[in-house]
Amino acid sequence: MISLRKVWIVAERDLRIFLQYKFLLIMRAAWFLAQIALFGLVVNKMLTPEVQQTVGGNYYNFYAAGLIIAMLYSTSVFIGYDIYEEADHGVIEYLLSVPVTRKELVLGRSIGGGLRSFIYVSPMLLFVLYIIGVTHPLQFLVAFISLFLFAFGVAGFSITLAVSIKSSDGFDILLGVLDALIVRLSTTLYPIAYMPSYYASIARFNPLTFAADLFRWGAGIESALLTPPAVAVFGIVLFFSVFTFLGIILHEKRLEGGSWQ
Amino acid sequence: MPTPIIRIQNLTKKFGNLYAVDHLNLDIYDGEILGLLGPNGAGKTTTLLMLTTVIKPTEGTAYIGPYDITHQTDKSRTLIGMAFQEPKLLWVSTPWAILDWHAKICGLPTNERKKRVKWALEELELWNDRHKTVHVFSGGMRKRVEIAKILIQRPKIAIVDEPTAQIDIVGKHKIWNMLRDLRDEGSTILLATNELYEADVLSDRVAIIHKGKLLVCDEPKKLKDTIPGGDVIEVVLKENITQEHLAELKNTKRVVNILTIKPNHLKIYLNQAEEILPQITEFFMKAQIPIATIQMNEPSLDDVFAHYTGLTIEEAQTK
Amino acid sequence: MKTILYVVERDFKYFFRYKWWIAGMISMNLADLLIMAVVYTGMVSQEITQQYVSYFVFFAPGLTITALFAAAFMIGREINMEVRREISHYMLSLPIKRWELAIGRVLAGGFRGLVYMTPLLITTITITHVFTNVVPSPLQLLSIVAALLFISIGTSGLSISLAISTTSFEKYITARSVVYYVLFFCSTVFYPIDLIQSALPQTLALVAQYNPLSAGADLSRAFLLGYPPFSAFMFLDVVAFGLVFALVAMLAYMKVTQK
Repeated sequence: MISLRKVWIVAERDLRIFLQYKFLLIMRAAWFLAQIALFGLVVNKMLTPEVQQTVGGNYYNFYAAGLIIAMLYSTSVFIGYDIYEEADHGVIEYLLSVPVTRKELVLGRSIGGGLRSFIYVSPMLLFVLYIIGVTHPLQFLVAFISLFLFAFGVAGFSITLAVSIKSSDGFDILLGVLDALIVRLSTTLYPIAYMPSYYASIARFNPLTFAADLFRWGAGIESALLTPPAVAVFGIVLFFSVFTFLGIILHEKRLEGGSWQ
Repeated sequence: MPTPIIRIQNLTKKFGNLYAVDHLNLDIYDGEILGLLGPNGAGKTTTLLMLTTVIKPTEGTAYIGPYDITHQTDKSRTLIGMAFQEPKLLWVSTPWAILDWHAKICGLPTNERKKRVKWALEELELWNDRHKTVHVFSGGMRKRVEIAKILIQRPKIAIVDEPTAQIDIVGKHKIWNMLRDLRDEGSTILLATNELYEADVLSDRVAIIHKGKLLVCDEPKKLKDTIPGGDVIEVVLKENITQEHLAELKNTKRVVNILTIKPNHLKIYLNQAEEILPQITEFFMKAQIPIATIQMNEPSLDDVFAHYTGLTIEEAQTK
Repeated sequence: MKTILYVVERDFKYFFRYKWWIAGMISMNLADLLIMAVVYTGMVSQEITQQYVSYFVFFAPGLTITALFAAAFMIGREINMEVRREISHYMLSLPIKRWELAIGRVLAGGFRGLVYMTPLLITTITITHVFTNVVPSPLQLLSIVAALLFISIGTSGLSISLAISTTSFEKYITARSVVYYVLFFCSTVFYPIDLIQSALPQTLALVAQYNPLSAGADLSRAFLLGYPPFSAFMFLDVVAFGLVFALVAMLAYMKVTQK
């Protein structure tokens, strides 16, 4: 029997720890501001009228919506680093000795990892919505809930990697490489129609593509190039289910088996 | 007959071919402070980690109250609180956040939680630093944060692993008193230490552990009484003693045993030391081995350890 | 000189311990070039890139600047940490003069940037040659490397100055982020200057115009693509940046270490 109260206490701990990483919060926020106030504005002027048309009339809006997803990804993934850091500092032994079940512990961490990034990104998300303007509240609600699931899915994905890779160097390198590839091989920055076919075939199945296109749809960006909302919702739910489930199973197995040692 | 609250049965942990804990059997009684004494690497911490269900035993089990640590891990942990040897603190955390969260996860209601956290931080002189991140703390300060966890939790069974390592002498006494208070309030305390004095002054019973095996377990006084010969004479010589002289000394009347710490440093276990002391000094004079220092002691837990292993704790640690 | 080299050697060796960071950066740089620039090439208006063949070719020289900048900037973070954790006390206890220590650290940061950037510069030269057939003369190549070295030393100096003049890690990160991203995105690394002038406010456009990263990127383009035309200002800009910030960092480092 899982105690939701204990799951919440574990999640709350991760939320609080996240607020202590002031350097990360500042850097990410500065990156977002620079992208939206400098890079986005200039690139918007660089593109052909056809591109502008195909992304719903304004590439800047398209780009701003994508940035939110990139932010959500990069902050949700951070929970994996926390787990590694805790293993380094022996905090994991302490967490295993407190009166919570392993399932409560793992579920709490996955929720904490997703929730904290969602809370962090929220002000930026509201800012982007202000720029774009929401025309279909119901559509937006569907997209908003899906983004929650996406954030939890990314946290689960990061936990899965953290518990599957033994070397901390290996984990850091893999996350660095993934971070570089996963955003660029998705539609967060550009529409799929302009990607070479070899990139597009990967981007089509990238959960960031689902999340970015769904958010655009929810925010009322009308473009025929977006992934159909039903497909995107399905993709996100699948991603969330697989990685939350995998994260919990693998993490629990690792903890109980003592292989975190 | 007191009730055991922890029953350790054939508890074993193997790392590769090495037995860190080797078929350990021990009962720990409700309301006592049991000192687990042994050199570094004796298997104390591994035993504690198994009892707290952090690691799994290779063989055997233990019961925490009615709960089996191999099958009822979640229930076992509801009775236990542990202060680790190395403080388990994430560098970005603050003492307040760490302790408040610990109290919360252990189920303390809000008012009581805040009260106890404040109390512990004040008692351990951490109140002024409660919002600083622990990475700026000294080893002693971190250790105090770690020990505060169980003082706040007040678990049925408190497990403390070298609670006063890196802490100054005033702080040590304070923590010892706090642990005694904890025991008086109804907690059972399992104290792992390699400090003889700490084990002696704090423990109701002492279990001596070496190479993963339990050597003996009893009240400190009874353990000391088991030493053959009620007294100890410790002699430091200016020159090394020869094997012949050593054999001759062993045959001296009332000498029960001799422990050679170094070739010029002996511990002589014997009866009625006051009477035999002049005879001992005369022996060294005749043998033309000058004495640097000589003193008469009561047997200590180190002597108990030496009696069972042939080594002092210090020697066992280096070996 | 020998002492300075020892200081440089220490920092240089430390750099290669950040395997994860280097791997992440290389992936990021290559992904920017081989994915992002490739995709944007199909989206960017021909009018904007006609003098550069394509956006991909335009971006390639900019990539070396981004790599160099990021790698040279890293030394500041290390120095900030050393000061906070009092590792700097060890450095100060060594039998070397303060100015030798200071100059060694500034130079080390610069060399780290240059070494990290070298494979990317070779990639850029290859790409630009394949697309434009332009072969830079040895003097032009030397000018590019010299300019990049000045940028690298200046960046190292800038990051050390920031690291030392900020009292807490949070303040350092805030200052670093602002300077870093403004210099990065207000430059001609990603887009030509006329586009910046039409899209951003005048103040930011001015920053872009005098930004040494712009000068470095355009100087490389001038010799590798033949456009924009080379001007002495480009070289003066990077030399001034390198010298000024090396000096500022040295003075700041000496001041803080003599407290």
